[in-house]
Amino acid sequence: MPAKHEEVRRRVHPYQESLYDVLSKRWIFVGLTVLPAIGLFAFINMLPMLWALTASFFEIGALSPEWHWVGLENFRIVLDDGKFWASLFRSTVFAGGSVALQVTAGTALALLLNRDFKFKRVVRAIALLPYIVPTAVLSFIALWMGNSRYGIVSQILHQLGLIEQFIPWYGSPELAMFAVITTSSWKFTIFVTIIVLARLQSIPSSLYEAATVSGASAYRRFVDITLPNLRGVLFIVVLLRGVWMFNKFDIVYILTKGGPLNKTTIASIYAYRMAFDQLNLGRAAAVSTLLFLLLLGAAAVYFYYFEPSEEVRVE
Amino acid sequence: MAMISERYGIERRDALKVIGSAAAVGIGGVAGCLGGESGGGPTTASSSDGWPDLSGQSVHFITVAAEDSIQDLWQGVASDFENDTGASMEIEFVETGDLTRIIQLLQAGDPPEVSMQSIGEAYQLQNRDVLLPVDDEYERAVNKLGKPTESVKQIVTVDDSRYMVPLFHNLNSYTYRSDLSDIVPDTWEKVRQYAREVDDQDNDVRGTYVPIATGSPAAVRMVSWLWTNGGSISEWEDDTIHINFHEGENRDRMVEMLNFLKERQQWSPLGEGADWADLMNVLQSGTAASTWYAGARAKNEAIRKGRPFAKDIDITPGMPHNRQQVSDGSAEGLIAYQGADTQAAKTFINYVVRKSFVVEMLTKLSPIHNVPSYPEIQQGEEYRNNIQSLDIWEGWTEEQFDNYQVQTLEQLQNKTQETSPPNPYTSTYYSEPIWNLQNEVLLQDKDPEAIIDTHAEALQQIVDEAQN
Repeated sequence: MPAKHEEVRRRVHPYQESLYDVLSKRWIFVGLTVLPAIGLFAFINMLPMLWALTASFFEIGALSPEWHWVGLENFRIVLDDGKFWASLFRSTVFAGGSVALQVTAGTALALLLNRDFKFKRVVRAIALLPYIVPTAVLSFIALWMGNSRYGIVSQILHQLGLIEQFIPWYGSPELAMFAVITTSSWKFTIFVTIIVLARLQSIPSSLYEAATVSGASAYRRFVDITLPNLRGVLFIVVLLRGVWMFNKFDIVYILTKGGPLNKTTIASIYAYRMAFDQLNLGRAAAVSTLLFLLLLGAAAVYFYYFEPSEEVRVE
Repeated sequence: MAMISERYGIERRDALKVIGSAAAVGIGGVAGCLGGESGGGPTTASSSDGWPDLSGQSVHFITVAAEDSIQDLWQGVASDFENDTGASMEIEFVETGDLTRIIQLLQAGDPPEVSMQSIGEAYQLQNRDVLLPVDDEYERAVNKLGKPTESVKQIVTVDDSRYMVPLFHNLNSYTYRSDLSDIVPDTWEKVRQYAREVDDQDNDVRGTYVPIATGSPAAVRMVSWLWTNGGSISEWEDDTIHINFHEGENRDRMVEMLNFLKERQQWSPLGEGADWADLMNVLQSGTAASTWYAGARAKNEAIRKGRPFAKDIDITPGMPHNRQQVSDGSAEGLIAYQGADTQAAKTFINYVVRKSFVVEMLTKLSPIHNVPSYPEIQQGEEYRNNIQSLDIWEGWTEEQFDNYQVQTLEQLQNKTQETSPPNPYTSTYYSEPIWNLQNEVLLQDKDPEAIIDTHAEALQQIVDEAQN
C-alpha cells in the first residue's frame, strides 16, 4: 500500500506543483475568487440598475414593450410632483426612525447579552427569531397582532387597563408610521446586536479591570471604554441600515400598502404605484434612479465626513 | 412527455423572462374543434384523440391559485394537454390577481400564451393592443357550455371582436345575520335600520362593518354603493374618459353616499387597516352582524369555522339600493396574447373550456362564491351535485344558494361597463384618489363637499396620463 500511495503521489505531484504555481499568481487567484461574485453582482444588481437608468429616459407604458425617448422629461415631472417630495420625506422619517430604534435597542440588547445571566441563550434565540423569519411571514404576524378588532397587542394593553379601546396600529393616520418603524425594528434590531456583540467581545477585559481598580464607576467604564470601542461598528451599522431601510418596500407595503391616507407611502411605494397602478414604467424608473443617486450622494458625504473605514480598524 | 416543464431551463424564452423580471424589480392555429366535450376534430396534423400535434410548441399559462386543490387541478389538465397535443406546458401560479407578472413578461417581449384575468384587467390589456381576439374560442365555449346571460355576452367585446372567454363571476352584495333581526337590509334605509337594531342589542356584535381600506376594496366599495345611489364615476367625452363624480347630480349622489358610509360608522367596529380578509372574517368572528362584500365568502368562512349562526347568514340579492338596483361585479376568464404562440394558446383555451373541467374548477375555486357564467352549467345537475357534496353546503339552503347565484348571473355589471363603450381605465387606475376620498371622510371626518373636487381632479390626471 505505501508503495502504491507513493506512486500516486509521484504521478500527481507535477500537476499539484503546476496548479500551485498557477494559483500563486495573484491576478489568477483574485480572478477566480472575485470574478464569480462580480459576475453574479452584475447579473443580479447591475443589469436591473442599468435597465432602470436607461428606462428613466424613455416613456414606457407597462403593457407595451415599446420605448419612446423623452430625455429628461420623466425626471422633470417627478421632481415637479409634490407627492414625490412627500414620499421622500416619509422615507427619510422611516429610515431615520428605524435606524435610531434599531441601533438603540440593538446596542442595549448586545450589552445585555454580553453579560452572564441565566437563560442567556434563550434570550438570544428569541431575539434572533424575527430576523430569520421571512419578511412576509413576520409582516402578516404583525398585522394580526396589531389588528384593530382582535389584535393581541391591544388586548394586552386593554386588559392591563392602559387603553380603553383597541388601537388600529396600522390603520391610524397618526400611528401608522410609528407602527411600521417599530415592526421593521422588531425584525432588524438583531442585526445590530450581532455586530455590536462581536465587537464587545473583542474588547480586552484588562481594560475594564484596570478601570475598576482605578475606581471608575460602571457609567464611566461604559462611557470611556465601551462606547469608544463601539464607535467604529456603529458607523458601519448606521450606514448599512440607513441605506437598507431607505430602500425598504416589502414590510411597509404588506403592513399598510402605503396608507392610510398616504401616511406611509415611502418613496419605494410611490415608485411601485407609478409602475404598477399608473402603469408608467419610465417614470417609475426615474424615481428609482433619483433614489439611487440620492443614496449614492449621502453615502459619499458620510464617508467623506466620518471616514468609517478608519473607525472600523481594530487595533 | 407528460411532465410539466419547470421554469429553470436556460432557453431564450426563459432568459428573456428572467431579464425582464429582474428589470421590472429593479424599479421597484386554431384547433378546429367544434362542439363536444372532447373538442372535436383538428384542422392540422393531429394526435390520435383529435387534438392537433403541437410538438415543439409550448403554452405558458398564468393564473391565481393559492390553494393546493386548485393548483392540482390545473396541473392535471396541463398534464393531459401535454399528452394529447405534445405541447410543452408551463403553468405559473401567482399570488394576487393583479398585472404585475404580466407586465414583467410583456416588458421582456415574451407574453404568456394564456392567462386568467378579470374583466377590468382584460379591457386594460386590450386597450393596449396586447390581446388576441378569441371569437372562435368563445363560440366553441358557448356550444359546449350553453348560452350565456345577456351581461356575460357583452364581456370584453371591442369593435365586434371578443377578447375573453368568461368562465365565472361574482357580485357585490350585502351579507347579514338573519338570526339577530327580521329586517332584510336590501335598501339603504333598511341597512340603517338593521344596523341600529342589532347594535342596540345586549351582545358584543356590532350592527354593521364599515371598512377603511387602502387598495382594491376601497375602489370596489365606492363603485358599488355609488351606483346603487344612481351616481357614476366616469363618462366618455368625445374620445376621452372624463371623471364626473364631482359634477352636477353625480356630485350630490357621491356626497350622499360618502355621508351614508360615515353615518354607518356609529354601528361599526373599528374599520381601520381593513383588507379583503377583514371583510371576509368580520361576520364569522362575531364582531359585526352585516357587511358589504364582493361575493359570498363571508358566509362560507363562517361555515368553515363552524359558527352556529352560519346557516342564518343570508345574502341580499345584489346590493342594497337607494335610487337604483344595480350591482358591480366581476367576471374572470381566459385571455390570449398577441406575440405568443397563438395556435397553442387557442388550442389550450379550447381544451380547458369544457363542461366537466369548468364544473370541477368551480367546485374547488371559492365554490358558490364564484358563479358559472353560463346558466346551463349553473342550473345543471352536475354542478349542483358537486356543490351539494361539499362540506360548506351544510351551511346553505337551496333558497340562499339560488338567491345569490341567480342574482349574480342576472345582475352582473362591471365598473368598466359604466360607460359605453366600456371604460378601459378602471382597473389599476382607480387608485389613490378614490381610496383617499373615502378615507378622509371616514378617518378624518372631512366634509365630502370640501374634498370631492381635489380627488376628482387627481383621478382625472391619472386617467388623462393613461389616455395619453
